[in-house]
Amino acid sequence: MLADAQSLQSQAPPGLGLGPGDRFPDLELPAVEDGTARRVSEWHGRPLMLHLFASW
Amino acid sequence: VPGWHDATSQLRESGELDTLGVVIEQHPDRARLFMQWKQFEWPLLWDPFNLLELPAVPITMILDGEGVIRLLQPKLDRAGDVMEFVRNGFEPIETPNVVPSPVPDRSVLVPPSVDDPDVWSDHAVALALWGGPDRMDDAVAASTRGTAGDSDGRSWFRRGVILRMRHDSKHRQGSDFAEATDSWTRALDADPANYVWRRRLQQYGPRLAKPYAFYDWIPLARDEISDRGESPVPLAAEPEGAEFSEPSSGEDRVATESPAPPDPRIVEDTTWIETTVNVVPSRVRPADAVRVHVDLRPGDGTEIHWNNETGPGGFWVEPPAGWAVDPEFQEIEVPPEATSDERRHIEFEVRVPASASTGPHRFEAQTLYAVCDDETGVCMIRRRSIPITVLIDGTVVGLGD
Repeated sequence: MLADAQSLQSQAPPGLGLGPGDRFPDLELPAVEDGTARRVSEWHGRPLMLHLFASW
Repeated sequence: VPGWHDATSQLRESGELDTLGVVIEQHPDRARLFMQWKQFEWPLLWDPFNLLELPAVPITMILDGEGVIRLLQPKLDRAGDVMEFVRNGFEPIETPNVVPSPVPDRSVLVPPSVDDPDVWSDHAVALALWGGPDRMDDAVAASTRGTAGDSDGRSWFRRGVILRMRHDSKHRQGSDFAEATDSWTRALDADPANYVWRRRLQQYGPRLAKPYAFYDWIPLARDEISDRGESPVPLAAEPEGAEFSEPSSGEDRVATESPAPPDPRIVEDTTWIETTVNVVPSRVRPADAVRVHVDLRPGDGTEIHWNNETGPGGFWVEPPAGWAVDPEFQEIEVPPEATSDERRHIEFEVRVPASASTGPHRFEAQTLYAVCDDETGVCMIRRRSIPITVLIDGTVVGLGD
């Protein structure tokens, strides 16, 4: 049986202005590899796991 | 992130799921090194400005093929169920909530025609991200206009990022790092709950306020990458002192014998070696601590270089009575070459007494070094007094709160 989405999620940090059902903003940012301008919408078309993180 | 990398490998390989990273830190090449170490091969974008105004990281989410968030902070201990959830596809959402794209993008590279600080702050970010290294001065100037008047924390945080970017560039100016620190201190004052902003200060701040050692993984990463026969990604700005240091409770200070400070009869250098001082954070409450960063380097346009044949230099701190300094003395290591002209970086921490009064408190550090003047061929030992100012402000946010 398929688990419901709610049970698969941990609590998001308070103050995060994004949640399930929101279209993720189409940020334009440089690629770390070469500085090329990329938009998050370039990954539309199939499911995407998005990590917002730091290496520290 | 590494846990999810492993858990999603099958779906990535089968083409059922893509992975994308957005790194929210000042130096993107450190994240590249981390990715190389962990053998993550998915793309990585760089957002040093935290344009989404995330209150903390890491944040992981799964978007559907239309870019709509379907899972936020999925549970790693339910990874199998999460993968099944993705495999089963998503019911379409006809009208997803639209969250405006955070400006700026490249469209705001054109100088604004209005005198609105928010618009100038966006322009400053666009210049820093898209203008290339030769627009750093323009980005700093735009960020000055972006923080005019009663600015919010976001504009101050952005200005700090831009100043630190210039500090790490060939366009560096002596006060950039200190001004970045002050900008980040103002940002955190405006929103103490933003842990992305707080971490940027803690990265350079005192051990008392550190949650963990930020970049202590780098030596191990380099060793393991080299053992695989690869060359580790080079770093534009090597982490220093505070960025490696472990947190401290303040009880682990080791008292050491310090040699006597330089004899005052040694001639003081006031021109050959340039000094810059940065106190992190720029304002501190009584009973809290600051970390002081001092850079010494031969002045631009001079014929001065370090003379290393005399052995290590020394650095002494003479705090006011009742103030604790760690360490009070440190040797300054020198390279094996007979002469050099590198920047020498010293860090120490100062704990302010609980009874300290509000306002600036000044004391001195002393350093002793050997330099040569190529123009005259003369080499000599010189001492240098370096004024340190710690600004006490009982209303400021504590970095370790």
